[in-house]
Amino acid sequence: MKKKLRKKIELIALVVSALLLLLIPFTVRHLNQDPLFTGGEFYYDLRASEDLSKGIYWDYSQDRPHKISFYHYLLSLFMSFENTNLLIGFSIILGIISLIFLYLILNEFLDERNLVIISSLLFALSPIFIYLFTIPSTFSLATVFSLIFMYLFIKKNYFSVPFLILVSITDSSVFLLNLILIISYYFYEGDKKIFLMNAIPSVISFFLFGYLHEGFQMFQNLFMNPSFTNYFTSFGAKAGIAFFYFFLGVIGLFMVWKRKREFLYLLISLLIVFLFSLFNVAGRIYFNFYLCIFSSITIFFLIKRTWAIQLIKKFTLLLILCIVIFSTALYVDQVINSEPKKELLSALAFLEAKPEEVVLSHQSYGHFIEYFSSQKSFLDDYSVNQDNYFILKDVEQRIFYSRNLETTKTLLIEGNVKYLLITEEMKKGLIWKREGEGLLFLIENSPDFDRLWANKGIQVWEVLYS
Amino acid sequence: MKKFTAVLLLLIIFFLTFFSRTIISLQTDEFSYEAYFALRQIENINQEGFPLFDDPLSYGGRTHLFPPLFYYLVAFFSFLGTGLAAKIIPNLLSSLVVVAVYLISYHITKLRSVSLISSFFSGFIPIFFVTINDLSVYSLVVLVMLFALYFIMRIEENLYLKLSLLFIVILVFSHASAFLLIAGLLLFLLLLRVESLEVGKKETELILFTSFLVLWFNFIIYKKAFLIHGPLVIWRNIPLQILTNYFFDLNIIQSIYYVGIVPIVFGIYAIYHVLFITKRRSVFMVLSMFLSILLLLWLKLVEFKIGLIFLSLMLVLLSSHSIKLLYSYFRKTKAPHSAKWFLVGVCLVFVLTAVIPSFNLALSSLKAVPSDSELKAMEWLKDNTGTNDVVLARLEEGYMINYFANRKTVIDQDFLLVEDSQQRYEDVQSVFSLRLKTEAVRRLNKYGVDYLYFSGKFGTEEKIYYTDPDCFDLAFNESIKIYRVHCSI
Repeated sequence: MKKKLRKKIELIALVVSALLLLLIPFTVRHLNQDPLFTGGEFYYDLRASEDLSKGIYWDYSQDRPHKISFYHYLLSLFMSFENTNLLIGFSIILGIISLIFLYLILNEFLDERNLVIISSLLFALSPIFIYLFTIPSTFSLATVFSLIFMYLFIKKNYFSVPFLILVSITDSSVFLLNLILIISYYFYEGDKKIFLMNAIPSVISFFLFGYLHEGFQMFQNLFMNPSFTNYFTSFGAKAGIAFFYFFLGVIGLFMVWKRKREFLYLLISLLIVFLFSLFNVAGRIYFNFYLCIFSSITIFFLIKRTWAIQLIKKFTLLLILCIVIFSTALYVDQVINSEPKKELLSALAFLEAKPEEVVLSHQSYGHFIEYFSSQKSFLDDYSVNQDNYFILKDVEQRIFYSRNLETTKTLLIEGNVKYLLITEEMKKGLIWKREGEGLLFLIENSPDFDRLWANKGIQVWEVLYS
Repeated sequence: MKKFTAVLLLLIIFFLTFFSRTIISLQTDEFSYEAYFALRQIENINQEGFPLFDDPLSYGGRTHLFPPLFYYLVAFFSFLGTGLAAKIIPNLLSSLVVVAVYLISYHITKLRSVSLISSFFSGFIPIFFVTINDLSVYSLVVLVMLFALYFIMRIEENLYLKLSLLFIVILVFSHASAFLLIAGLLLFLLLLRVESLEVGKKETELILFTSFLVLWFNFIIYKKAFLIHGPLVIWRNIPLQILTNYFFDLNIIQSIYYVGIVPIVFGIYAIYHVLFITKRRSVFMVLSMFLSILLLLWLKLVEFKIGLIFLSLMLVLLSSHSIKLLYSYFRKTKAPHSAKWFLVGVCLVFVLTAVIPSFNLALSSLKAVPSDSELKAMEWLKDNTGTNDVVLARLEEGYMINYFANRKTVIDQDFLLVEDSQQRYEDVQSVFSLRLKTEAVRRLNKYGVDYLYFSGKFGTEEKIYYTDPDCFDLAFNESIKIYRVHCSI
């Protein structure tokens, strides 16, 4: 009885910690009068869901099919409420559910309860957790379904089937990873029945949903170029691994390696997930789970070890705590300072009053332009998947860097660009490195550009076509 | 020798070193060219309370990355006057090295006389003595590192354990050179294993914790640089031409001159003795430091002058072991008095081969400071140019122009976070060597240069060949030439 009560108290404490952590970025952004949610992808999803709630599956702004998944259908239910800030509750609830189910899964695998608590706490403090549940996306929902599926799967409960189906129609990369993991588990455990009962319906649902929805991205963005900047949050990755989790995890791996026969499936699945993580976000989400486990093994080892110098033990554990908190704080700060901010919103509100035209800005602002100003963006982050992306990108680059008025004007006319949105970040390295570079020189010195709006480093220019 | 006598002699050595350094340093009010970066940081701390991480002048505007403890330390003593504090404090820290060397030598040799000789050597290593006007963070780093090393050697005692932790933290907050200590200590652990010597659990724990702390702290500070430069951050993004020139002009004779023949000879003998004859843990630690610094120098991971300073100090420490061996040998002979004469002889040779060169080099270094004509040119720049004007000068003159003239420069000796450092260096060098005006103007326009500063002090050019009145006004015409650039392409 005491043990059960203790477990409940631990779980409540974990949940409360996660809740407080998730509320921090929302609270700070609210106090700064910035929109509560960050990231272009979220605003694209909102726009797609709004269209979906009206039965529109085509993105007329970019002339391509909307990205559609179960997540967008769920999100479209929220569109009936005018206040999108209600999504905070949705997001946080998803986060708490994911934490609870991870805790339950770890309880099944790990004998030592302290390991379960430390792993769960590390997960709650990890940048991936904050990313998933402060910037809702298909990954957020798919991860929750996936964790519920995993828990029911290891309990050999057939209620796992609908959850894997839900994963399959929410995010293809998460589904693919789950499928590979249960296939490898099948080869390890040999339980054919539960494997087939889960795999077959979900694969069918995956292909069926993809067949019925042109916008369901079945195999897109599965393999992106691996790079440090996309992998570690310490180097600026939006959806990445904390570098010191990786470091602690590697140490934990060395400790587990001595007993590799006992943990064979864990190590095999770790390899699969690690390879996946190099190429896509779903892999990094799952790799994060493993890193939390291995990091907790390292921390637990350090706590239990007989130290020759107790002072060093205390300092080492304090250092680890500082590192973990620091990583979290850095990432939360990154989220708090991400676009869109109120200054950008003001500029976009100004553009919203204008007739619908094409706005040229940095690609990363594309979704904000489309959502907040209802204007067409010349390029956005999803343009990468378009066939003519490289042509458009080349045009964009030539417009930004050319100092030849004729060339620039010709390109602007061909692209039907009417407005230019220029931010301080674009002038400070996002596009230009020096004053008066390329387009910056032309807009300041040519009568063919009229500055319509300017505030706190953000400018809106109109291209005047004579 | 009695303890009181040894302490007294140590104090004499310390004061001798300190006063020698300070008196020579105070022969000029100026500092070496690279010291002006530190001076700006100290003055900014005095004015704003913070160092100048966001520098509007260097490279026309950039961010610096560095641990600021040293600058805060000197700024703390600014009640003496910034200039005076900047002269006294680094020389005081450098002089205190003699105490650290004495303690380590005594721990190795258990002989006060030999330890005093080592401490005397450490005070007058030419390459280290010549830093009197450098206002260098290494004056603190070297001292803290030596003390940390000493305390780690005595880690079995609780007080020294705490002191070692304290000094390691100070070192971490002082400079990225804490990596030198980590490299040495990790090599020490490896050497112990290889030589089948007992690896102390306390030492292992402390060394691993220190490694972790240094890695994390430097990761936090230099993360942005790693992101921009990748692995090149280890070489501080220094242009290849500068890196490859590190060893270009040097030869063995010069190296011996900079270090001193006595520490080299006795240090090498100690290395041989420790590796092949008697294996002593305390000497192994010093040897590990020596070997790791040598390796890092070979990989050009540490600046040559700095590496040589550390190497020479390690050689001095190692030489105390050799001197003790020889001293003990002489004492066992039928003429035990010869042991004292041996020590006297060693000191005499050191004085002739190191102390005198130290003073020579230090006095020569007084010429390696901005001259009166340069200061006059700086004053002219400050009074006659716009606050946003950009001055192109040699790499070595960048900090001086930022400090005295308060003007933007195109290049200086800090290349971290500068994305086009290689190109920039080549462009600046070519501006002084080109004969074609068009090419030169193109490069000047690229960096928005308003004034071209030519002192002739650095580089081999005697004059600039393309500065005709069409594009260049000779705005300041003395031994220093300053041209106003009024052409663009």
